[in-house]
Amino acid sequence: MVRAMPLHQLTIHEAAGLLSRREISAVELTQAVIERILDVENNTRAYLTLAFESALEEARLADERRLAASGLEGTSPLLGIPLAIKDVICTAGLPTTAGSRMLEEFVPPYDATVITRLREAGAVLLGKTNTDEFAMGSSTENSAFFATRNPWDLTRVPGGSSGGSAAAVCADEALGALGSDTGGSVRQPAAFCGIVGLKPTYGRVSRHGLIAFASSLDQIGPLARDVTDCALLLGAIAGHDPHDSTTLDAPVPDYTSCLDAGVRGLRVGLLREQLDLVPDPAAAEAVERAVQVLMDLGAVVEEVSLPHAQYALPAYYLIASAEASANLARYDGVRYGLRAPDEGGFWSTYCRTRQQGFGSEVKRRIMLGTYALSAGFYDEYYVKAQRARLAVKADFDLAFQRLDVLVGPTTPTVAFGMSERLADPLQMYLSDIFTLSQNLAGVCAISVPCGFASSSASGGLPVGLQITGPALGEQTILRAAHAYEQATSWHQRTPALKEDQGL
Amino acid sequence: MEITREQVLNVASLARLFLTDEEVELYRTQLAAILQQAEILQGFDSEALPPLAGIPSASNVVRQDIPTPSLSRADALHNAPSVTDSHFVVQAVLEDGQTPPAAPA
Repeated sequence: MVRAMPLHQLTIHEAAGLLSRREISAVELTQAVIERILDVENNTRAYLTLAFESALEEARLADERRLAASGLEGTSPLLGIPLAIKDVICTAGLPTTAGSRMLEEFVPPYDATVITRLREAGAVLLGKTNTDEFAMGSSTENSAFFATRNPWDLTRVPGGSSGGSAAAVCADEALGALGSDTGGSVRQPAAFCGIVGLKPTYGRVSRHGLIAFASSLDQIGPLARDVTDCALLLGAIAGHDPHDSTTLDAPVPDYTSCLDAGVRGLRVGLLREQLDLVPDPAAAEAVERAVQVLMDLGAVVEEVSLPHAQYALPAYYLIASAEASANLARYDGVRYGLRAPDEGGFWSTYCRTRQQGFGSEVKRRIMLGTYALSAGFYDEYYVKAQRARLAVKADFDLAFQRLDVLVGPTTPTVAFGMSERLADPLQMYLSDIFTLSQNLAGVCAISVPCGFASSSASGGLPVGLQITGPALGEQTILRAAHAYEQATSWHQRTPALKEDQGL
Repeated sequence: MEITREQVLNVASLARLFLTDEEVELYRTQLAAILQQAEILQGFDSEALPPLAGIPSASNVVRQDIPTPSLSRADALHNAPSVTDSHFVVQAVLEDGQTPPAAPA
């Protein structure tokens, strides 16, 4: 067979087919992706840590495993597949920084549960991807180390906080990736980079070994080139974990088995109010056309409203910051992480450690969260936000009584320019306005590419369609996303990223 | 929405953060702007709703009582900035004059 496509451009399921038929080896595949990284990483700056040596060793072991399992059933489709991991997920022996000076030297003594599962499946870990510090941000510019660039236009952000993972998958520097999503941090960068990203139901995927930002909102989710790959990755990481008491006991289905079931008769709610908030007519039109495609495929579409949507943004920022201020209290310079030079006694060292170790956005959220939790403001802000959270969740509960999925834009705009929103945190927070409600409500959602809008050097920037499902509705949103994807070709477009554009 | 310099310093002290003068002023205006946006919650008639702290899954989750290996001492100490052979090293907390400080004025 003649392969028209370079190995680094393969989807996971395509590569899995070639690997299982022994047309390629995991070492060849990994080597091809490593060469791609060497070619374009100067442009995208997606990775914080590269682990080529251990990746090639893992690939060699994957090839051995495949040989040993020859003729046996049950080989994981991820055996020998090179993946990228957001740097907030602990990897034993491989630095895990959370994009922060605080953890610059941190090497975890254990694997996160999702990493254990990927290793058991035989996946190859290429390295750790850039993130906003402690996953706090929407552009990956809050990384303490450097900003990642959007492969479609290197003067724009890739979104965030999983911007490194999104850029790596988009630029063919990994076949798939893991990110984390607290208010949109998987879906928003997936939309900005024109790939697929899924936030699972709260509790579907273990958070054990995920560096905590806001524990009642955080979920690890996959980023991939297409919906099938997303389903494969989710299947590998989902499931109950004794190390995370919030994981759900529900059995993990084969998420790929229902992909082809189509959307005939599927009851779809269009979030018209979100569409009306999209200022770029071309982006709004892309979403409208996507809805038309679903209708043409037999879905039954009606407009639906989430009456308490206006409360989601302030409720989210108060709750997420309050939880962050408590979670980040652990960075005291004693057991791990940075410690400022011992001067002026314990308290002085403690406070200077945190002054030096945390960046501007992290301090801002610690301050906001501490304020919201402090005496005199607790009822006015934090409890009020929690009541609003219930109202936001009730909106979804009501909608899902008569609808199977909700659709709308993933983001109000396409990828914005580097440093455009850095000085104004409120502007930055607005880019998650359509994604954070799902975290508050604990439901699942996926972003799939649905077109291009706005002028840029590359002739347009990706637009994302968000499909939201009820708790444990992953099969339904994957099925709808897959039906849409099969009817369109947006997911096949790739950026014309040249080797070292010398920015 | 007005936040005073003293409030910022108080919150910073609670959060164990030293801030520079520039940071105090920056966060004073930015926190005020963010909380201004949150004012919309004050108009939300929510008293009928209980506060939702998280997405409930199961309650009273317990793990089976099966002993498993824990981190070795060497692994536990590996990332610490200052250690002896078997301990984390911390500066004295209870010496004279050691109180949680306000940020330096």
